[in-house]
Amino acid sequence: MNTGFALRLFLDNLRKNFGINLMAVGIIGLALLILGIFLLIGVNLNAVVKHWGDQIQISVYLVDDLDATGTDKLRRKLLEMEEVLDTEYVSRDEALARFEGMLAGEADLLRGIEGNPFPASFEVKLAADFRTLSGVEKTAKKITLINGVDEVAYGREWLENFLAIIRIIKLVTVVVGTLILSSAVFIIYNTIKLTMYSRREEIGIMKLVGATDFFIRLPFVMEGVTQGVASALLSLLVLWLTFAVALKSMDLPFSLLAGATPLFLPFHLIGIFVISGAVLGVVGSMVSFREFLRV
Amino acid sequence: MIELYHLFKVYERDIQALTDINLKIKKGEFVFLTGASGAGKTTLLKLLFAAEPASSGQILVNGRNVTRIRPRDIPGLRREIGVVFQDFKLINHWTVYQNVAFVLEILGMRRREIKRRVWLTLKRVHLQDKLDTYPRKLSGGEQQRVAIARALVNDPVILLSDEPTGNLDPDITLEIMKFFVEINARGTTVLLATHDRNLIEDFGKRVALLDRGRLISGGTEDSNPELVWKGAQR
Repeated sequence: MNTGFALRLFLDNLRKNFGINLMAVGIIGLALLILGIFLLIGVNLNAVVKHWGDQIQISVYLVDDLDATGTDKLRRKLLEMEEVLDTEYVSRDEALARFEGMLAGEADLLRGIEGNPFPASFEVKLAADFRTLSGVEKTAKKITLINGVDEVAYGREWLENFLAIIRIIKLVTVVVGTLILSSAVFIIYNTIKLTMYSRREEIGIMKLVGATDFFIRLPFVMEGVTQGVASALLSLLVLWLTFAVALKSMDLPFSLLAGATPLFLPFHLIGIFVISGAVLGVVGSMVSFREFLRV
Repeated sequence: MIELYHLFKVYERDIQALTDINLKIKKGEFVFLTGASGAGKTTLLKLLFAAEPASSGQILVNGRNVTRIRPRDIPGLRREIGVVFQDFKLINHWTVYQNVAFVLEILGMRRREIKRRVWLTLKRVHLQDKLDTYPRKLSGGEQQRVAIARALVNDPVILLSDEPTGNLDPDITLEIMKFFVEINARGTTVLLATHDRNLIEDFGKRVALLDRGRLISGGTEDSNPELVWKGAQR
């Protein structure tokens, strides 16, 4: 097989069919852009969800007469548990101070309170795998059994709502993502087919003078890869520009992101995006090619 | 070299293009395939290089059973047969050189050898000055000569040609025909479809006559061109 010839043919075609190729890259780029916008939203939504997920924690209240050694022992026991990511000790004084902070301006309410009614506690952050309702429940139950623990609390109702919202978000993401992806694939396939349709005569002639399918296909596949990669890069560029401009010019409602910073696509996703462009180009040209090879 | 046994070709809606064709062409023969338009000349040629499947019957070309050929063996068959198409079938956005060289490129030949052969072949059809010209810039006759050059550049064992001189003026027709005869003299089997009576008379070769899809004479070597032609005039 003469790869050099295929390469020359491919470059020749690229030059001579520049207009058609440019149009194809534009259309495929647009389809990929929509996919990219969706990915970008997905990435940020994911970051928000993760950020919220970090808030899932269990408050472990300690018995009143636990001394420093007992507290230390308890901390070690908590950290030994696979469910526990991290712990933060909140002393009785700190608990009072926090409460006072929350009631700032309404100090009157505290007037009737004698001494410090707040127990010391550990704020326990959970490992990602256990941030489910049953995970939190089981972990809480386990912690209750440890010596020195008086009570545990984790805001069950809030947790249930939160997890339900995340489930809905995930479902919507999958459904919308599948729709967008399939329409992008459809558009790409048809665009490649159209560009190839304009070349069907040439394909037929090549076959009639004895070229094998593989030989004919090679330059077209090269063209498909080029179209795919060029489209992916183009859509990434447009996506990035839109993202940068949007960040700068608009006062994004950051509260919407719940404290998470807006993110662009991470490197590995950019890589996957470009490779997908190439793969779509190859598969699209191979599939639409089969229809024109029947001579 | 070419053998057809009880060959039928029926198109959709029962259009009978070829009916019970029996034809034998030996290696190195030069045969005219003639008959009125629509007699089945082009169809018969197409069946020989597997551009169309036969409906029934047997086709043997250079030892291959074309009626039972596997799709992956079709390119091999077509490389052994040079075809000059009635409508030339040149790729318009390729230069004359590219169109002719393609046949050698698919064989994986070295570039230098390709250049040499393409130049020599184009010289034989007097187009060596048009290497970098695109087919659309050429006259009909010139395009036809490019098509002929492409059919001959890889020294095929069989040359099929569909009305190869239809668009040429008499001088060039004569030249092209001499060229075919010369190719034939070097051992290539030539089957040439034409309805040009003068051509057949001038060259006095064997004539296979088709009439409405039936081969009415010239199926074997011992046919007399004169008689065959007169038969066709009835």
